[in-house]
Amino acid sequence: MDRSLEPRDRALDANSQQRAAAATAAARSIAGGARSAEPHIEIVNMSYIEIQDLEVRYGNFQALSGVSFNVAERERICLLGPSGCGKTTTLQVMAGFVAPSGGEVRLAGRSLTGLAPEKRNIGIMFQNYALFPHMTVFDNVAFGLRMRGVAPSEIKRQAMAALERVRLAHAAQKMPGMMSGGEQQRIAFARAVVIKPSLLLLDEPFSNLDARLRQEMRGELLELLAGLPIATVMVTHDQEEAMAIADRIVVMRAGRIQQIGTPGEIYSSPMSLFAARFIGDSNTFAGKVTKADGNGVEVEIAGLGHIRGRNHGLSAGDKAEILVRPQHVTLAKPGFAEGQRNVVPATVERVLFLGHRTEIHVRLGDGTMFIVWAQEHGGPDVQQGAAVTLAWNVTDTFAFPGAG
Amino acid sequence: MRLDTISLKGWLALALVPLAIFAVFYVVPVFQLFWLSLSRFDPSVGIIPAVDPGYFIEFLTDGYYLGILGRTVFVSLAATLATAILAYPLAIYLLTSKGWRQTSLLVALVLPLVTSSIVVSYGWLILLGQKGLVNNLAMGLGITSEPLQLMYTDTGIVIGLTHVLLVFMSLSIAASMQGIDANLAKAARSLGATPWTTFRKITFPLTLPGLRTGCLLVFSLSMSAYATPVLIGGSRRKVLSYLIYQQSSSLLNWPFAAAMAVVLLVSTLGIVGLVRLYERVRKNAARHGAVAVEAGR
Repeated sequence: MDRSLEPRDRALDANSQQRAAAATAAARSIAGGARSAEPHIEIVNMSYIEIQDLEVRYGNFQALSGVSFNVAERERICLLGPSGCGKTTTLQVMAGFVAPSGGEVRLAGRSLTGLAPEKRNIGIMFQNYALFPHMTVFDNVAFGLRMRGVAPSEIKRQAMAALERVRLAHAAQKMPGMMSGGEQQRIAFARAVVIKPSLLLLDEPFSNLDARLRQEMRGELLELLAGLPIATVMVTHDQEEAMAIADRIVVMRAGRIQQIGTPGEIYSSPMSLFAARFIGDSNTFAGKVTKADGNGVEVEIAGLGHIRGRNHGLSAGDKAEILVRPQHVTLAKPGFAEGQRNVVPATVERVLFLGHRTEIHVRLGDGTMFIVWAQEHGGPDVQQGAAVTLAWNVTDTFAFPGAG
Repeated sequence: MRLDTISLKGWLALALVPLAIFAVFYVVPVFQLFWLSLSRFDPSVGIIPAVDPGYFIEFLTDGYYLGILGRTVFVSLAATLATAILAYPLAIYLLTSKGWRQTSLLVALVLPLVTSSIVVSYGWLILLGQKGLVNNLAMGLGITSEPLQLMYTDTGIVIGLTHVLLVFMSLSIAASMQGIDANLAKAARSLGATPWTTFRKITFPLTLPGLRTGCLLVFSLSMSAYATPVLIGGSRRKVLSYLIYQQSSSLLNWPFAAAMAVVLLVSTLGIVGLVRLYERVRKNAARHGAVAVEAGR
């Protein structure tokens, strides 16, 4: 029993702005920037949670291999990847439900290896909320406090305060089954944070909600998290969710980490084709490297000519995948040419006016489809079937090693 | 298919056939039984139609009969309790195990049900006898110096009934346990509950409907069980079903047998009903309690 972790010092109740500033500073210096945190901000423990070389094996299936990352105090981390990438397994290991076959998780300097889930003081919000259906909303929230042997009057005060925070104090005596999806999520949040956890885990928090409610709840969760200086690890397969909520994103694939960075970093400097495709929309095409050096690459694409781009570990003769984001492409008159831009002739297939942007589907000379976003008000003046030239900056072109 | 695509009338039409079978083969005989139980019997004449509660009075005022009724209720309650306690670990194992382990456990549970209960009880005879396996083992291990009397005792009857009826309890608890979201237990653990507390506060309360069904089945089947208690208990440890058999088949006193059958039916339903009533009162009290808390805030 004496191994259970102390609740974190509540005195750190910094306001949300300070928290955000600290986390950004943390992210910046983790990212390699030499700047230190501003002196008026208390020193943030950069490796509050250390995850080192996690290995999880189910029979012959390697669910996690060599997963390592740190979470700073009060930082929000998103584990992002498709299903089966190991993000949920990582969460289960942190919570203590899955014993890793190798590596360890350290929280505030102490190893969690072999520590039962009930002794970790980790709050979890489950994908399906997992509210106890036979208990009232109040009893659900009070459960963790009762397990900690808190005095009844104190339980009542703290649980009601937690319910007030999620604006559900009036529903304390209702059963969870009578509440809407959004309300259930707020109860689950209150139940997870009322125990003053050392770490908050969020498992796909919005996947059970419909699109409209999802947006609403995202804003709501951001607001709730803002008033709560707790290190948070969230699991999601939705890149938009990850970018909206996380200070840093850990992109995972097939049990391995692909890239760790701030949303901005991963978006503007993806280190792999997978990360680039997963964060943000993209157009890709395959070719062969004809020239490569430290400054960039030139890739020959059959039927389209040469495309120049940023080099990501390619040398001459390699197969390459070229990636361009739809919003970086502009439509120009046929025959347009400029030194700093890649140009490709194309034919307009479809023009979709979507309100906040116009999506133009074009077909390239080699038959591949390309998507271009135009943001002009009222939509650009292009007709279906028109011949155009696609132009985009060389610096907006990513070239990654191709498959095979 | 959604259930409400067929109207209520449609369902009633479909239910008519089983309802008719139920009426003909159950309700009619039970009414006949009630009617018969009020008749009189004379060994030289046979059944004399009458409306006379004499046999009921005879049964309910005689310590001998009441003792047997008491034993029947007692062994049934004990078998219900024993199956309930044994069924939880079995149900958990049944749900968590996979492949051949799960299959063999299911087979082991169902086997006494598909085997004739006479064969099963003879099996217990061999195990529980003075020189049976249980006694040999107990004496060999030095637990007792003299053979335990297990045959022809209430304990023996409870052991036999528990064995035969365990499958009903296990499967109904397993069925309700299967419906419980695995994340609930994880949530409880993450909030600080030990595995045992998680079972007590989360798993157990959520399996109550299954436990209730299991108890109802095991208790009523125990009350009316014949082969097992008769073979293990013999004539020294009579239960009510044995008396009914004796009266109807050996003494041909059908009215008295019918009266005892009615007593058996009423006491079974009465005990089940009392439990239901108790649950309802408690539920209401809990609701009032919640309202009181609400008002007190």
